[in-house]
Amino acid sequence: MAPHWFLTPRTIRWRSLLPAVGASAMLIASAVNPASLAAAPAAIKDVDRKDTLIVSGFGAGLTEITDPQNMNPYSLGGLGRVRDILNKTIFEFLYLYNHNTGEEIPWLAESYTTAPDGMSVAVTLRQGVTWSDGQPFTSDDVKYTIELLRDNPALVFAADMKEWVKDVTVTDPTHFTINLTKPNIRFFYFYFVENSEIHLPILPMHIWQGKDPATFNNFDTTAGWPVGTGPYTLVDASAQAQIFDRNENWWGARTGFHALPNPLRVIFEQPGADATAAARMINNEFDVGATMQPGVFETARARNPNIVSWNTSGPSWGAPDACLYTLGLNTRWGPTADVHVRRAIDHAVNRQQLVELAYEDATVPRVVPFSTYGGLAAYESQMQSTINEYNPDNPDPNIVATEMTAAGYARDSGGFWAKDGARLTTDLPTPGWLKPMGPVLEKQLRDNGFDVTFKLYDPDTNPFFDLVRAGNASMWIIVHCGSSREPWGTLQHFHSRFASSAQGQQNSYIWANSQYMNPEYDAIINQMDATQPSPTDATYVSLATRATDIFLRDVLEVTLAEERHVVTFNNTYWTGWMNAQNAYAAPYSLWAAVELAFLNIQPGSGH
Amino acid sequence: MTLAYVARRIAVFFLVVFLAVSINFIVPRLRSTNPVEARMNEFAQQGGGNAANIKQLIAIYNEKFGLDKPLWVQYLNYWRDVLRFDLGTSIAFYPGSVRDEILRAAPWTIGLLAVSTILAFVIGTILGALLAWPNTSRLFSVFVPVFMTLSAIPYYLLGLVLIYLLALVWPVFPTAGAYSTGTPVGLTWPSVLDIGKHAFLPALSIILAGIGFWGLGMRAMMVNIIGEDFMVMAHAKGLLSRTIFFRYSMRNALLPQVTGLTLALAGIMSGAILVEVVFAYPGIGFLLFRAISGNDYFVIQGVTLFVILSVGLALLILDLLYPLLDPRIQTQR
Repeated sequence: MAPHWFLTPRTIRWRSLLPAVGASAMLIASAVNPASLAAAPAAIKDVDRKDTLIVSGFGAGLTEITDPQNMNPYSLGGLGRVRDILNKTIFEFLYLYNHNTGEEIPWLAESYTTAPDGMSVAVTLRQGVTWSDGQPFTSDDVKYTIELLRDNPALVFAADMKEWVKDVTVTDPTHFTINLTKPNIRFFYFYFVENSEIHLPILPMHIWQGKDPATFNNFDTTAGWPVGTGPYTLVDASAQAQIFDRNENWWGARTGFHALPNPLRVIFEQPGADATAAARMINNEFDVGATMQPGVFETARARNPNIVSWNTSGPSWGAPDACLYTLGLNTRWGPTADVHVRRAIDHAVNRQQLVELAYEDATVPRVVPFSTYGGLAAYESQMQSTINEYNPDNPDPNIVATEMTAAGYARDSGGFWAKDGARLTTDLPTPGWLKPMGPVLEKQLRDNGFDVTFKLYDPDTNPFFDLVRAGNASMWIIVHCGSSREPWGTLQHFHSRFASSAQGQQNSYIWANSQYMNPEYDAIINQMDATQPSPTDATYVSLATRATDIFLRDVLEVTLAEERHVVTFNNTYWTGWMNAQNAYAAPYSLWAAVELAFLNIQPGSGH
Repeated sequence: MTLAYVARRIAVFFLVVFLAVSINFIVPRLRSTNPVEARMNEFAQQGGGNAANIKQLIAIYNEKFGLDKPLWVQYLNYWRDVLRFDLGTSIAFYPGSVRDEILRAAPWTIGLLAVSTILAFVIGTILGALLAWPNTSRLFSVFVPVFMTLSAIPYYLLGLVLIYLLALVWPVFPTAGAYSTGTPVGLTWPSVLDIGKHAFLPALSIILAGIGFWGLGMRAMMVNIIGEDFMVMAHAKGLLSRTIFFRYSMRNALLPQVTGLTLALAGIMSGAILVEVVFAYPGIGFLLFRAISGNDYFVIQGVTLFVILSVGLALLILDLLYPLLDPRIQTQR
């Protein structure tokens, strides 16, 4: 076949090819220029840096703007969107909570009363609250939100509301009652007061009615969406940043409840990688930064003294978060089902060494699964004699030997514990974010005769949770998140109601993996379920002490140390951040009460 | 070149695309993790939802994403959607469509990587050719160790060094982002300058690492070409040194470089993941990073599909252009 003219080499010359390539490149460039295709920011008014509060994500990979133009708090991924920035700007809550003191702070609501039988909660809303579009915020909005969740299984928290809520009875625009399907004296507290980053935002009924709540994006800045009660309104959202301008008609200022916040604008911006985030903090590009490793924080602070954290001196700069670093133990299956083995493991662990080596001494050893938050401290101080009785923080090879011998083990030729010719060999599964502890614990346990191998699950932790939650691991490293105001929150996780139905079946709660089965313990927790917590209530304190006694006696897990994050703030443009001396709110930028910081901060030296 | 040759190449293109798209479907599913379950586990880790809620949501969203169907049904559905250029709904950005997410991110990546790849190619190729050219000043030899060092350093590490030097110690460029937050993006001089300023450090990190790659490759090719008979002939004819350099040696040494450039340009659709993560650059690489972290099959598949198509098309075009660039290539079979 003869060559076609357009494919004949002789017709192609560089002189003719180059302009063609150039023209093509220009065409491509014009086709793909950011202005034509990207979700480009719209023109918005200029606001000086000194009047702007810039918030980075909590940490690289932890909070990222996954879908910048989705403002639905209840569709898939909604929880992340709320805790990133929306719970401090757009959505407000019935109550805020100060974890440091246990103080409940009435916000959209003025008060609530839980019925003595735990079957209902009567709530009074604050007068004069309005949505950002001027419509009044009323009991009907609350009823609409709760019942929407109850009736739409595709929404997050739907099954929770289905399980607990019978209906909501509206008395008048500021009074309503939530009627429950079964007793729960902590219902309102759990879902509407304390729940840190997972509060339930109330939706404006007049906007949401008639929309598909699972797919409604709630985003249209020209229409003023998302409509919220918060002190800011959204003006722009792109993959790089979300921008909120102060709502000059915010109900709080209008009613005299609270003055308008000083920052005219809030920007939530992607932090970049850890090193980039630290550099940006040093450059004063962020006012609320990502968390840092202690060493990074100290380096950054040396370059920019305006960078601060929770504590004003180190090495423990960080703040507690109601979670404890924990060596989880399977109390039901495998070698750790024997309480003597668990006790031996407890005494093989050197907590102080762990804290020094894994966390640069930036946290404190703990032996009970309670954070150092003020609300819990009031209980812990009353159970100190019980804790002392067991003396769990006592690394001692002799106790290890005694307990392992009692369990029928002896050292084999390799120096490891073995029983009936079989060495006690196990992995030590560890999720990526806890990896500093893995090698240290592995060494401590091996030094005490346990043939343990540290196994890292990073970055995908799903296989880790599959293993642990199904009772297929003997021991693992984890954080145990629970109580922030009363011991029940954590102690209940050892109730048999959370255990798997059989080995290999997933348990019912991600942080309750001990598989502990003890009717005596269950009975105590059942009583606590129905008792309002108070450190001055002898009955409650007695129950909590008895449960803690069993926790320590049976070593349901080995509490290692408190999880503390080096949260970072920058005093250059804004001052008045919460810290250990001015603890008006917990300092986690994910949590709703950080709105208090937005409202309280004052201009800094950069003004 | 014959029509049969063209038809054969096009058939190979479709075969490659078919196989690659099928592998693209299978590979994410080899992981034991169900993406919806992973998403819900994340929700549970944040403290949200009880066990019943999680199970219920997993069932509902598995159905919505078609993950409850047998694998072969998912495969057929996948092909049906691909042929309609419907890349599905993202799990991480639900209910956003994968296509929209990619289109939102693509301009930033294409702009950054096309420019930096071409610049690295041009600079690296010319410097590499000069390094091998006998008439070049000996001072030029200092570039060899520099090239070798730069080509051995991953560009995200260079990025961190550049941030330290040019954004922290001597703060002349922004540390991160694609534009100044709050400013409008458009085809205006201030906007273009702002975007250019933000792209400078990520682009420089790619260019510095790339110059070494292109430069060393070109230098090796030039060394071979310089020893060829036609070069001796050109000198014997008394041609200008510049003419010999550009038209005899560089042109002949360029072919493998052009192949590499084409593949590199085709591959930019996958983004420069680590550079975009380091610089918080809202492009395809960052999108892919988040999709992988979030077990978002559909975004991973969507981005990979773009890469497959662009690389496949690039190879097809290259196959068709080769005979035009180098008559020695036989295409009559």
